[in-house]
Formats: sequence, structure tokens, C-alpha cells
Amino acid sequence: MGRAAGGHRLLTGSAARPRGRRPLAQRVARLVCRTITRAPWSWRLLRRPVTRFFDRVAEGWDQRFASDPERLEPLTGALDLLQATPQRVLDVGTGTGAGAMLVAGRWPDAQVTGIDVAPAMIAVARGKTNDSRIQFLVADVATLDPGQGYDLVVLLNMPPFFEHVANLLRPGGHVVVIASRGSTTPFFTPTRTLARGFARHGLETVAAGAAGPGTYYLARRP
Amino acid sequence: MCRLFAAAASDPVEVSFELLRSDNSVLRQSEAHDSGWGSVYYTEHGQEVNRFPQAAHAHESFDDLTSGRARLIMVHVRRATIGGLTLENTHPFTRGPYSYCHNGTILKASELEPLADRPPVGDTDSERFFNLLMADFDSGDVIASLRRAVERTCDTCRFSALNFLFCEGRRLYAYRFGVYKLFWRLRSLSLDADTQTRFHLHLERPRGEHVVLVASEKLTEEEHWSEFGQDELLVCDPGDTDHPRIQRLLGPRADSVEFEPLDAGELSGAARGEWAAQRAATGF
Repeated sequence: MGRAAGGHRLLTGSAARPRGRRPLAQRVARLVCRTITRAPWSWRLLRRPVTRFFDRVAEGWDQRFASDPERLEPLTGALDLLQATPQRVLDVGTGTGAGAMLVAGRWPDAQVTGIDVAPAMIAVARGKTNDSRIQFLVADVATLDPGQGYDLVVLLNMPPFFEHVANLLRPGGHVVVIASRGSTTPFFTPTRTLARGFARHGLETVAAGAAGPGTYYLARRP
Repeated sequence: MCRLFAAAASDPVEVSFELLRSDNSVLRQSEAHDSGWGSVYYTEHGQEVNRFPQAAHAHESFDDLTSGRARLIMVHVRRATIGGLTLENTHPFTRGPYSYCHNGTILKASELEPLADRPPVGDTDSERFFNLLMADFDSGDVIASLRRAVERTCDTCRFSALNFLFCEGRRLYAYRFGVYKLFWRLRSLSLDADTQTRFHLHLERPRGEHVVLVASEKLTEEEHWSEFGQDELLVCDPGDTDHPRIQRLLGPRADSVEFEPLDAGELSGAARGEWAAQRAATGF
């Protein structure tokens, strides 16, 4: 963990940063994440290759990554901080739906929508549950109709999409950003960047921290 | 059984001496209390809450994650008695701005569930007490809310101890009620505890800046630590650390409560987690 000017600490995760160069896939993912964070318009250009990549890896995704139960511990840690029970929840970049299903399991009255740009991922997610409270949609957060808005937006290992996420939240709604392996997560954004980005769109930082092998960030629309 | 530590200070303070380097540091205590650790730091940027179902002394990030500064700090190292080594069973329990750590064991704590506002996520007696406390929590009268929760627990269950730390972001509340001890002391904020000398004491004390420390075990041998009496609640406002308030929570009623000393077993590590998970499964 580093320390920035003004004493604000930067959570960089509990996992020790590996020495030497990161694996190629991780470096590419980090570059994509940074690009989308700093220049949101670039998502229009990156969306197609990102979709192609995740469609290709959808089969076998759960065996490679989601089978590790610790992966969701930081999400559990962040959800513990919510005071009110959310009614409408959106899981952005849900992949094979693990985050959406954890949220639905925790709050029996919540309506949970999981969206992902990769149809193959959504197909896997749909095959995993019959729960009528959970719907999985092929959709893009950048063009999603907010409808009545959401009480909780979950970004599990995703770029932050500040403006779009802020527009989707109801007053009093929260956004949770999870990096399930801390700073070694491919799509990782430092806490300070998250706090600054969401503040620009009217959200206030509520909490940040580490839980199990990963980190989380929690902000709220006043 | 667990170990509690808390600090409340007029200015953001760091407590790495108490956590890492004092004679009986929290890190050292975690060798016997190795079922997980957690911390909450209330900073100007919101809460920073860290929780891990692993022993603090074996966790490479304990130093880093506890090195920040805050006006209100709570740290907990767990020794599991009910509930396995999972994140859901790891203190502090949090909800909105509220956070809470417990030391002690409440027997048949599932009987508190009908009084709570939500079912527990994990298996611990401690979380059930927290859900009971939050059920009709009055943020305008925290002490009355704490009193109500302790009274209801006394009415419903037997326990070894209800020692806890509670914080709502404005004040620190520390309570002792049971077979385990709790201590507190004032430390001069400007002192570097590692190089403490008579000169420093003379020079720094008149400035009136203090940090109030609370701990389950005395952290230093040479300093005076005041022991909490039974049913004593310490309320500390970071804006006025020179005058922490101590009062009884239940009053005379507390004198008739009999505690249930428990054999907490000698197991440690994963074996202890399995034993505690088994206890939770059988409704201990």
C-alpha cells in the first residue's frame, strides 16, 4: 500500500505484487482498463475486440477462474457495508453470473440484472440458474436504459465507467467496485482514481478496503 | 474469545506501535488468536474496512493495511469459538457507518434472530448480536440502543462475555461485561512511543492532546492501564479525548447476571476453524 500526498492511502490489494513483468494478458487488460477509465469514448472502439475475446473464453471460464470461492470475498466484504437492502441491482460485466447470483442469494427480495457484452458469457450464466429474480441480458452499460434506476451497481473486475454508472443509480444508491485479486487483477483501478472519477459525477466515497485476496471500493449517490 | 483494540484521537493518529511493536502487541496476541483479523479506520475519505479469515501474524499485508492514520480505529483478532474461518464470520461487522467487534461467546445465539431485523450472513453469535443491535437502532441515542441490545441478550441467552467495541463514525464505544477483561489508557498524541522519555513526557503532555487506547490485554508492561469494571461503557469523542466518559450501561441489574465461563479449547489454525464450524452446525 502506498501513501499519497495529504495522507490519503491507496489500497493496492493484499496480494503481493509479483516481481518482474506482469503476464502479457494482464498487461493488455490493464492497458484496456486504463484507456477506458481515462478516455471513456475509447470504449466504442474497444468494445468489439473485448466482446470477441470474452466470447472466445466463455467456455471454460468458470473452471479457470470462478471456481475459486475466495474470488468473491471482497464482494461479500463490500456488501456487508450496505445499510439498506437493495431492491434493484445491476451487475455490469456479469460474465458467467457469479456476482449476480451471490447478490441474489444474499437478498431474497432483490431483483438482479446481470449484463455483459459477450453473448457466449450470458449463455453460460443463463444455464446456471432458474431463479426468476435474476435476469441475464446481452447489453452494454454505455447504452443501457436506466429505467427506474438501480439501488446497487456491481462492477466485479471491470473498468469503472464513471458517467454511465452514475446515471444508472437512484438517489441513495451505491456502486461497488471489486478487484478480486487486488492490484494484480487485470481490470484494476486504484482507489484514488475511483474516488476522483465518481466524485466528478456527483457520488461520494463511502468506504474502501481489502477482504480476502482482493479489494473493494464503495460510493453512494447522495 | 478474541482480542479487541481501539483508538480515538483528536487528530488522525497511527497506531503501529500498539499493533506491531509494543511488549504485548496486537500482532503478538494474534499468535494465540489466529482465526482471522479485521480493522476499521474512519478517515476523512470514508471508512476503510479490512477483513481476512487468516491469522494477522501470518498475513503479509497486516503491517501495510494498519499503517494509516485515522481519528477512530478498531482492530480485532479472532479466536473462533462458533463459526468456521470464513470472511462472513470475521469481525468487524459493519453496516452503513456502524461497525462492531466482539469478545466473548453467546450461547444459543440463534434465539436472538427473531429479535433482529435480518438473518445472519455467517454463523457467529457476534453477528447475531450486531443484527439485534441494528434492529431498532436509534442514531440519536446510541447508548440507549446499546443498552436495549445488551438487556435483550441478557433476557434471552447466557454468555461468557459481551465485551465489544462499537463506532458510528463520531464516537468510540467500548464495553466490558463478562469473564474477559478490557483496559484503557491515555497516550500523549505527540509522543513517539518507541523513544518515550521523561523529557518528552514533560515537554509534550501540557499540550493536552491525547489518544484514548482500549485493549483486551495491556499492550505495554511499564505503563498504567485502567481496567474496566463490569458493565462499564467508555464513550470517547475524538474531539475531547482528555475526558472519556465512563458509565454503567445496565446499572444494578448487571450485578445479578451470571456469566458462563467456557472451555475455549486449545486448538489453533485450521483445526480450530473446523471445530468452531462444527459447533455452529450443532447450534452451540
